[in-house]
Amino acid sequence: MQDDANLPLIPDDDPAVDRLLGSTGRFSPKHGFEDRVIHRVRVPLPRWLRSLRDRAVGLTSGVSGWTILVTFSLATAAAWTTAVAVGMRFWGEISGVASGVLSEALGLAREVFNEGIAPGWELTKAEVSAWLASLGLNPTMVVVGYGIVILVCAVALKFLTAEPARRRGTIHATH
Amino acid sequence: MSDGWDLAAASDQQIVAWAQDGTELAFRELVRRYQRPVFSLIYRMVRDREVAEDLAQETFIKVLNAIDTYRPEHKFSSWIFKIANNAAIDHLRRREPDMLSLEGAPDAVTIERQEATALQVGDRGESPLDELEARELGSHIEGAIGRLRPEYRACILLRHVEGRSYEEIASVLGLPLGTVKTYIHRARAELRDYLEPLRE
Repeated sequence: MQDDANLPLIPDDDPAVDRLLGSTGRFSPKHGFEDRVIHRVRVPLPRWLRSLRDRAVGLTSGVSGWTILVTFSLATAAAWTTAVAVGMRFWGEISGVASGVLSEALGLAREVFNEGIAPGWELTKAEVSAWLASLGLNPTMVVVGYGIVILVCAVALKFLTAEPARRRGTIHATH
Repeated sequence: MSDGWDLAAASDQQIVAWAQDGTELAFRELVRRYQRPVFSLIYRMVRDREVAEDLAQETFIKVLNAIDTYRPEHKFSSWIFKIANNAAIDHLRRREPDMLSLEGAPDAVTIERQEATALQVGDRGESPLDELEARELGSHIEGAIGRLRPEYRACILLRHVEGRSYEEIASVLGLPLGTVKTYIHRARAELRDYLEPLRE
């Protein structure tokens, strides 16, 4: 204890103690700590949404519920009537443009199917049939065989992944 | 992630601003940055891994749920350490004062419980002999820290493990600067005595 009297008031002068303390590391919590915390944290709404909400609340504060209801109903009715009126006035143009776009899209799809997909499919079918024939296999039988195998696998998978039936009346102890 | 969203390079203040704006990734980054310092501080204070996990979790939940109240003129680290330290001190006050043993809590009567409450000194990937020595040394140091009074322990951990300034420690612990210096001075003197055999 002789040394204690010589220690200065700002106590950062002992390299040996510093070195020993400096050699201590940090501990880590168990895996998944971050997720466990985030799961229990309320992430706030984005600021713009909060300000919009606050503005709406500010606008309606001090106004009676009936006034809000009547104003909202009138505004909705006006918006709907305007939309219907505009729709009726321009229905010819709207339907004309829509049917034009639709027929163009259908034409394009038909073209792609007729010139690309259908010949490709026919060619692939012919190639596969020729290959199967060279192996001495009937294409129809191969397709049926595949269908049966897939069906059997699906049924097996269903049974393998099925949850075990819960026993009624079982009480699980927690802690 | 768009430009200006480099979470790893951003300051605590910037991350907190993003968190206040409702960005979940910013919350995650804060947890990632502080989970080890906060958990280590609490673990060394309470000496029980399970309890330390719970208290660290509560600390983060309290801080992150109150993120809107954070004022950027203060350091985020001071705020979170303050809440962590308060949580640990509250826990120690509720429990009997001397539950500090490197071999496990005194109420640990089974081997499993002793293992669960013993302070695990980390593996540093050295040779078996070095590792054994490091573990032994680490155990001595942890044991010495564990023998300090909780307020001394908090000061010494914040100063020497977390590298905080005296001013920040005073702010975290809500103590006058002079008191912090005195506590660290006394803690170091006690540690020097406890660690005397290791000093050559």
